[in-house]
Amino acid sequence: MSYIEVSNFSKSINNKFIIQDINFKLEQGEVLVILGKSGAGKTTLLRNINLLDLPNSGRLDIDGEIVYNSNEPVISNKELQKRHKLIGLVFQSFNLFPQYTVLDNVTLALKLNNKKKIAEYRRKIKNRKEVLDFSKKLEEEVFIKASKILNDLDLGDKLNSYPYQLSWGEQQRTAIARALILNPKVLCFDEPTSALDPSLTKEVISVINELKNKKQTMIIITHEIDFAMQVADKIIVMDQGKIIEEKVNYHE
Amino acid sequence: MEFINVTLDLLMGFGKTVLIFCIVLILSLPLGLLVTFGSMSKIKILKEIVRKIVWIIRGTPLLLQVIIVYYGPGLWLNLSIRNFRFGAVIIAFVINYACYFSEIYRGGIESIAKGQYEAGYVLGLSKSETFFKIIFPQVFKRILPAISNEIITLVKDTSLARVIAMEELIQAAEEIMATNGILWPLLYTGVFYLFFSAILTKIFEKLENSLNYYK
Repeated sequence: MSYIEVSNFSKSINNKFIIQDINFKLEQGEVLVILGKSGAGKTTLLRNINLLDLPNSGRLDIDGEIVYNSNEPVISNKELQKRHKLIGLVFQSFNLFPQYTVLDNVTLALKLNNKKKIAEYRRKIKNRKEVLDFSKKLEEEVFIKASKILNDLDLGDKLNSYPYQLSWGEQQRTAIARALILNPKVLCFDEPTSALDPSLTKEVISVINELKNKKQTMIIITHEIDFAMQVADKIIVMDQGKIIEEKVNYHE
Repeated sequence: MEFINVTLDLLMGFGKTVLIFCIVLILSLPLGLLVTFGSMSKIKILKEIVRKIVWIIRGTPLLLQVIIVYYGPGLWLNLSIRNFRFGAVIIAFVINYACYFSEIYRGGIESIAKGQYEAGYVLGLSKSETFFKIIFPQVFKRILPAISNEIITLVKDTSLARVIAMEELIQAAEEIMATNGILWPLLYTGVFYLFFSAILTKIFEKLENSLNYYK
């Protein structure tokens, strides 16, 4: 079995297929680029892989786990939350949280997670000091992890900046860091280079290649062929909701 | 009647005014959020009912609502509640203000881009975490000017309580007028209202500035 398997994904709205019978496989550390014109169904496919929308039919397996299966009974919200963490997404417009600093944007999810852990710990261990130590330890761990990710993405000096104070590239890298802190099995990008000038596109390519060196599995949707050729291991071409071409990219 | 004595008498009434103001605010701000959730609910019937209630409350005078809450129980339910004046004022005001606040909240919530919610969901946040950690702080910043407007209106609306002979600031002045035959204490109440709203204006200014750290 492959690391990621998307099988028979279909999504229809008002009896009209937006994506139909999508199948592909991806190995760990590979980069898949989904190419297609606007309206080809790329974004819908990505949203369904991210479980932002749920496909009408199909199955998604990641690292031997069933992440979605349309034959399975309805997933509870709690379960859905857990599965969301397996799949990271960098939105086209990043959707950073404007009221939080770069560091807080990145650590928010883990901090909320830790809150639950601390509450659980408090129920088990009544000793106040121990609980305090425990929460301090967790906080420190989050900070160290976030700092490392942000440093690696060249944002070490932006920890306390707010999103509106960042350049386009810095915002994108913050969005990447925010997704990476959850150790997602796969990181998805929605049009990471759309309407960018060539020098910025180069920046994006180098960031993606760096992630690739760390064996981060990625799925990227784009309509820019040149960009696709430079980052992809596999390319899928979509049109009218279907895969019309699938190829391995021997770029090295 | 001496200025000092009048001032002291009015201060007693002003105390009641401030008390009404504080209790109404503390109760109606969170209740308004609940009303908002109702008016934005996916359950159609709930949404319709809540929106109808908001429409009725916003479409009728607060004065009338105070009268209905005060006399209603005795008139229609044969209930006589002792010392109900203060309670009636609080109930009518809280419901009225919650409905106004709910519409302000709703406008604010609807102005936040869908992407902010989705960014929360893909990070594995629950709906309530997403709302309270991501959405609401942004909503709060956006609606603060409208909310402060409404709150300053509340300062002056408290004077409507006197329709059921509740002793607040204006009522206190009218009593002095009636017993001493002088008009100026009534005009003097304006100073109290101005003073109160001046303080509130200052507080909201501070609050708005403290939220200016991001765009």
